[in-house]
Amino acid sequence: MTTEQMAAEMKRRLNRPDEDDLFEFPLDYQSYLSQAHRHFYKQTAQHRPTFLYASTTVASTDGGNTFLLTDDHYGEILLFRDPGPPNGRPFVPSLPEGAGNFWQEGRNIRMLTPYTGTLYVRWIPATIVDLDQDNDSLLPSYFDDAIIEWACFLAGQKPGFLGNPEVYKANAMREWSGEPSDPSNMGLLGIIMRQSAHQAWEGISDDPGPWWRGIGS
Amino acid sequence: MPLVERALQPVSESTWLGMHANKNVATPLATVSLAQNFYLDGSKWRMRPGILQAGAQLRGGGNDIQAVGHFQELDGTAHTFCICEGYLFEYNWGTDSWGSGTLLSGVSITTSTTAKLDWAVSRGRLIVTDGVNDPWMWDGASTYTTLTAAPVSTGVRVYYDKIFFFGLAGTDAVVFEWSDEGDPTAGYSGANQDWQFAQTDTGAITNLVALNEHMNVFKEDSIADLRGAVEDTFQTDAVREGISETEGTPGQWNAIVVNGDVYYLSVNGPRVLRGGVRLQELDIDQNGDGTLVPIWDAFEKTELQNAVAVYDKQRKHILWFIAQAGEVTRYTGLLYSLESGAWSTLKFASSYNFISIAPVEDTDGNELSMFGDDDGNVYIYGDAANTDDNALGFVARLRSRQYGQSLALAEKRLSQLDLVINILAAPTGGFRGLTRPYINGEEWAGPDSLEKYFGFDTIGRKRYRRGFNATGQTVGWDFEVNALTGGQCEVHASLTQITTSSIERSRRG
Repeated sequence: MTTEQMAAEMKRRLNRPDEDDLFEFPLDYQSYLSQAHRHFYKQTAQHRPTFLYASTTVASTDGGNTFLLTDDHYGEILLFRDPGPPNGRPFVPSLPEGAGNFWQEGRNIRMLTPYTGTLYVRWIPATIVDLDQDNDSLLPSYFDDAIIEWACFLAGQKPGFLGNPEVYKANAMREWSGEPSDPSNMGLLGIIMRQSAHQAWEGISDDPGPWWRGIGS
Repeated sequence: MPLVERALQPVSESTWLGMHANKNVATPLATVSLAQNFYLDGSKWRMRPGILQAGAQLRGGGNDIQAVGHFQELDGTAHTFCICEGYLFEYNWGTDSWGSGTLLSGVSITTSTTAKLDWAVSRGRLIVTDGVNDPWMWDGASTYTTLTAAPVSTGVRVYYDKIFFFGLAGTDAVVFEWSDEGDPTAGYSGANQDWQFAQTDTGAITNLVALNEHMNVFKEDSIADLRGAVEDTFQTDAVREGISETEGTPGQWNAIVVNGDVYYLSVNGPRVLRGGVRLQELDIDQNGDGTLVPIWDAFEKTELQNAVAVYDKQRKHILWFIAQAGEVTRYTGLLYSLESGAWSTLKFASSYNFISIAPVEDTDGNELSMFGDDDGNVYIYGDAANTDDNALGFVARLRSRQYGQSLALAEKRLSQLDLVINILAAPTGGFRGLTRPYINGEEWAGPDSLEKYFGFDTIGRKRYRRGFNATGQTVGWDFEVNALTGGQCEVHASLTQITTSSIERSRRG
């Protein structure tokens, strides 16, 4: 669904009238949808971070020892030498006994020995787009219901809303983790974990170009 | 102890009971605090009929319609007439036009061209008085007669087939005089048919109201009742009864007689004299609370002598036009429904000033009313098919009662309003209305409060819902229809949803 469609669906589920001072359509709805979108993005990052890998630029800060990521991240990082994945050799995180190639310091990537080639990075930037008329959800379409229900839960907490927001919360949680009384329903979590078992390199970007990017040192 | 928002029990109001404007008392369920240009029709609020101009502007505008009315000759010939700048005009219902008019001075009648005129009908003749010159009489054809024996007076009534004149100038203001039976040209003070009516109140007679066997004599602060046939010695024969020594009326234009009851305006509010003898207040509810308090307060009491009244027979409504405080023009007023006992208010554009109003009858026998203004225009009121002229901008408004208590601890939030309305007429572009919150007794000036019109393209029953987010100690809503864009509708039901914040206390088990 587009953000516009999700907002309309949210309005329907919240049973809001067309003339509404409590929630302005679509701006307030987009705000709640963005919040819900971030919520499930974080949930996914916790359970299957590789699913969210994106490529982006990394700012180089010194003679090959330190590379700076442009955003907060969830800690899952893959680094490659030229010519990048899947053929470039990966860097290995350093181990306590000194083996390996790099470690993370906050947003910094520290190389054990200076690296002067092009650094390719796969990671999960923490900042994602807000949903509005130009930006739709980054998550797969089967997340739409969960996002809408969670957004309804957030909206329903606004003073003046007449329904019970907890209903929407319960729906969203059931979408995510499955139906407790139905062991065969594992929810979105089940789906993405199932996918994880069958996919190797992955990412949700639908950009036509490669999902990796070379970074000058 | 978090603040918890709770939805209160929704307030469902569908069998409307009337308007209760008093903010100082708890208003009963199913009342509204303002019904402007609406009236209670059964259990629903319905917009009053529109007014449409009758014919063209008379005498080029700028002049009062001195009188308007309708009477029948003995042979049944009906006349719908008005008088403007000394011309008598007759209305042609078929062509919606006023005739060329008869210049009264041209038929040897001396009459004021500006003063408001009072008139009565006796044996198929129209008797008119202006308070400045001798009264005169018209037979409906070509005969105009100056009543030289009759006193110069502002008011004329017919009782027991005698023509009574009151409102004499100077010290004679306390006197009324009457004619011989059925003969407006003879009798009066010359035949000792006059009565200096000063028993306990020596003030001027402000009105006479003739009933079947009674005649009520009104002064500003008192009412007396006279009973019995009128003979030459009426002064001594009549049975007198003092009705009130506190409630009278300042004006002669505001009394309406319906089924033997006299509805009139006292300075203290609208009153009724049941059967002409038992005085009752009309503006109180069963608990004795004044239902009109802020509305009555907003009228200019010093202009009450010019208030005008008419009875809408089709709907059993009494319409009073009264000037607003600080003003002299009459574009606002009260509407009293005899069927439901419910009040509502009338409000036209402030450019209007209704001078003379009267019931009329069209050629099909439909009972309508005519309003004459101060600019040579006459309007027809009462045809259900009429919506107002676009030029007659007005707002029909229904304002809910105030939910909650002022100075209450917890604030209320108006959350949602559902209205069930029946669209009776949707003009080109569709029916359009708007709703807005009414918070702490004030019109809401919040964002978008004025612009949020809603519309329906077709007639029939509709449900309209709007979510609000407005808080106050008392909350309510306004529903408005603007004549320019509106149409006609009835409001059948409302569902008002309110939430309130309170501190949730933890409970020890």
